[in-house]
Amino acid sequence: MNLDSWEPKIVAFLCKWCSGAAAELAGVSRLLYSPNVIPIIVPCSGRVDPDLIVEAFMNGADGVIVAGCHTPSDCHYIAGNFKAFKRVYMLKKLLSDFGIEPERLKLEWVSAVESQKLKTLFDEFTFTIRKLGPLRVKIRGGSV
Amino acid sequence: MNKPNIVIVHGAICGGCDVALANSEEAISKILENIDLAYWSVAVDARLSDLKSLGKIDVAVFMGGVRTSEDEELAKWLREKSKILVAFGSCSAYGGIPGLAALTSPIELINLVKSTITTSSQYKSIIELPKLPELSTYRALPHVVNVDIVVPGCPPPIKVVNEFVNVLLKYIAGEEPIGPLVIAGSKAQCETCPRKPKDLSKLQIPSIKRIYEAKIEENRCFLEQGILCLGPVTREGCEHSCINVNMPCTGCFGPLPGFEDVGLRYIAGILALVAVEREKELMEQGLAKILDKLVDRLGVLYRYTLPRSRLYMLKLSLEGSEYAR
Amino acid sequence: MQGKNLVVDPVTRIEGEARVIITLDDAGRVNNVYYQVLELRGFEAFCRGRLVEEMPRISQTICGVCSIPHHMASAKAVDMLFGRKPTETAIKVRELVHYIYMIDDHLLHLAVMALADLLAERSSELRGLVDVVRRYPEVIKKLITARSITTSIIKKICGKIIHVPIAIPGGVSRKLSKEDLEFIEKSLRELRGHLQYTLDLFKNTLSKSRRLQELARRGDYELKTYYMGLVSEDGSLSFYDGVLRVVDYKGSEVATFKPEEYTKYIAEHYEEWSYSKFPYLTIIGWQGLEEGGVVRVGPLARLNVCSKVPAEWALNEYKEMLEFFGGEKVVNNTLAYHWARLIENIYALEVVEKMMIEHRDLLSTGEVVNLEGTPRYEGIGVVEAARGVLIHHYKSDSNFLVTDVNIITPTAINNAAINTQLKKIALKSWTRLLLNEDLTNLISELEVAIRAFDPCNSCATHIAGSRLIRVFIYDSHGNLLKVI
Ligand code: SF4
Ligand code: SF4
Ligand code: SF4
Ligand code: FES
Repeated sequence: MNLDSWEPKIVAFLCKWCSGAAAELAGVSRLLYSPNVIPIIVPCSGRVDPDLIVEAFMNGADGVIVAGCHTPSDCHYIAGNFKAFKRVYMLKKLLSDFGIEPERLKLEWVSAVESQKLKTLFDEFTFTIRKLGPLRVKIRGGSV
Repeated sequence: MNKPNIVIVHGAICGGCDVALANSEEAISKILENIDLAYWSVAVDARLSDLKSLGKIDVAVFMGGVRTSEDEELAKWLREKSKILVAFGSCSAYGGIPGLAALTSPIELINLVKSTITTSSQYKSIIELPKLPELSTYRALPHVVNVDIVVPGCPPPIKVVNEFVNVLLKYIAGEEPIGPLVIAGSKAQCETCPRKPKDLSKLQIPSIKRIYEAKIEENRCFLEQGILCLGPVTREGCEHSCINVNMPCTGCFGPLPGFEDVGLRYIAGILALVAVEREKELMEQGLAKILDKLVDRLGVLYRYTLPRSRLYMLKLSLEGSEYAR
Repeated sequence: MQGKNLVVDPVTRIEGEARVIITLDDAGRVNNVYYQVLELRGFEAFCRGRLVEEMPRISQTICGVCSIPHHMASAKAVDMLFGRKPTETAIKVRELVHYIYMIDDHLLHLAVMALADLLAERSSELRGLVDVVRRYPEVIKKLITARSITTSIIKKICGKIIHVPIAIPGGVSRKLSKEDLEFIEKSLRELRGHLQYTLDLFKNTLSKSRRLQELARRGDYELKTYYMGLVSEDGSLSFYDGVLRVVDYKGSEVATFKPEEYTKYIAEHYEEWSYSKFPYLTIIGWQGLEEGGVVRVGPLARLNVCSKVPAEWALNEYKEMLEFFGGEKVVNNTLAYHWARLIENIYALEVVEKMMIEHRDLLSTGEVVNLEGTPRYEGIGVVEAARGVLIHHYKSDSNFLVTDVNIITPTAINNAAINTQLKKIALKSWTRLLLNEDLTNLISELEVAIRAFDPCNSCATHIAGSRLIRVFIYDSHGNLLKVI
């Protein structure tokens, strides 16, 4: 891979009620955010299956964002965001068990009006991933 | 007409699968009656060269994981030569317990094995050691070649072994193999579990406990007691062997159809339910702490299936990693 | 004699293989013999990081033939690590399973490894189990029935036959039900007759077979080694618990120590040419592969070290064996391992029968687990596997995750003795090794010796019960001359 031309690929799963709306608001307000982020709108952060996140990585994502409604009480389905929290928390641990930097996965709560927060999240995350470089795997005691 | 023949070969194995097959009198006598047992190093005095000189192979049973370059060659050769290829036992089908070594590099493996914690070693060389075959990536058989039948279990229980032999006989009688057929149920252990809670959807897992901390109640679902049980993500077919003696399922029968990755499934479906009734109150101070109780994620979630997990596949597919092939 | 005579099997499978290497001197005489074990599955490595309480379920997959002793040694190591004394009920349940396992494994060895050697009238007449099945179907049938009894008892108690899930830190997962007890009692009654049969079979064969008698009396199967085994506090033959005792070839006690102290008495020698280490006794020191310095474990060793066989039937049988081999206190003949195995079966049966009478209540009532204790974060567990002393040694961090694992298997302990035995046979029988002669008979004598030890290479490798032993012959310059 040519590192000079490499650009981070980031997939963001955004809940349609909050962060998804914030992304639209960002658009309407002409907030410029990192072009590396590909937003995917989902009905609720609680619908983001860990399998889906891994699927994103398998298809070339270098980083994944999951954003949902603020805890404790903003989720439209009452507890989807808690499920998201637990899943992402465990998946991050699992990533590190497999030698993948857990920082490549990020969960954030963003309400419909927090378009600025979303922009900052996207930009900072892109920066983090850029620093980490393309998705790679480290193994215990490896020689590479 | 010539009897069809069968060969039984090994990758990295513990021997339990051989004994499991031998333990079924019914299976063995049916095999000996209907099929020519052309190669099985446990019971027939033959060498690998004899195997290689066989003109045709009807059924090849592969036990153990694919660990060395030689295992891999053998697997590919068998696929080419044989009509029906069988992954027998969890090591072969999913990687098995030794598959947990998949995340340790061969170099580290050798060093750790050589080093012992308490005893002294002396190094002296009289004759040379023949070169070890390269320890390549640890893989399950279906990951290397297509298989026709999967016989799960560590080792497969007698009932499953018998069923497997019956299926074999049907195939030999002319029935067409219908592509990877798993000799197990297609539903989760929980479906038929004697401990199944009345309403699975209302299952409550108050916290995560380890088996050294708890006195396990005999008739209650393990999850309700906080003991992680892999039943919800594991195929039925073992007749709840472990559960019946009051031990949680650790998943040797492998993933449910359509859900290849046991660990991800478990995170999504079961771990997301932990402390579900106290999420709000716990969010700030301790939801994460409760989850932290699951320390050895690989050993618990992927005890038998690590080499077939999606994250391991990801590893294999990534450029620049030692696993890249 | 360079490369030209080279015969190398085109598909050389190495991992998990055991082979015999013979080196010659300049005159073409046998110089040395090595029994080489090549295995690497790396349990010591990947067990690190595991939950220590899961070790009994994980570490037993080292070997599917002796999964139960691995399970039990592991359980004992874990008990100690957590600082827990298992409840009385738990100890009895574990012992019951362990003693039944002993019979089961000995029967399996008889069927798969030993029968072909014992029943053959000429060497290598019977090549493997399938030949035996063809020639002696009724014998095999009997053994299969006997094993179906032992396996069904194990399954009844443990839910599975191989890789059982029953032992937990400080106990077992459950106690037995009334129905379990009745099933076991009924099964034991049937088992009696079958064990009688195997013993009679052996003794009849021995008294009839010239070949066997000749082999048994041949000096090169005599090996004057040390012996090590578990004995209970009063010196009785024991498989699950006790102290380790070492005697010399005359039966004099050399050392007795607690399993926890094993590191003081047992060290491991490492040779670059084998992946199996060579454990040795520190009080004797590593003396190379020489008869006088090596130690043996297993059925014969256990009978040699114990001072009591507290069971009537087994004791009588034991006396008969001693008489056959000359009436000394210690039997040094490698082939006596076979006989010792059958005697142990009787002993195990008698112990279990007694247990079912004296501790019937304990097996089905009382606490199954003790959760109390002060953790030590380090634990050692020792039991007798069918083929000898088995040691599990773990360390953990404060979160009870495994940080260190050392496992010493009986096959590894016997490794040096097997080497020594082979050398003795080869040196004595082959004053001159003619390279183009058909060596099958000689090889078969080596195999007979190896199988007498019952090296469960699964423990070390994965060729459980395999009759495939390859012999590699090297000249004095280290050139490979021949592979048989
Ligand atoms: S599946 Fe289990 S019994 Fe079979 S070889 Fe693997 S560890 Fe042994
Ligand atoms: S989680 Fe385990 S104990 Fe509970 S119902 Fe499922 S299989 Fe049975
Ligand atoms: S209960 Fe689970 S671990 Fe036990 S045998 Fe069945 S599938 Fe395997
Ligand atoms: S609706 Fe937004 S996280 Fe559930």
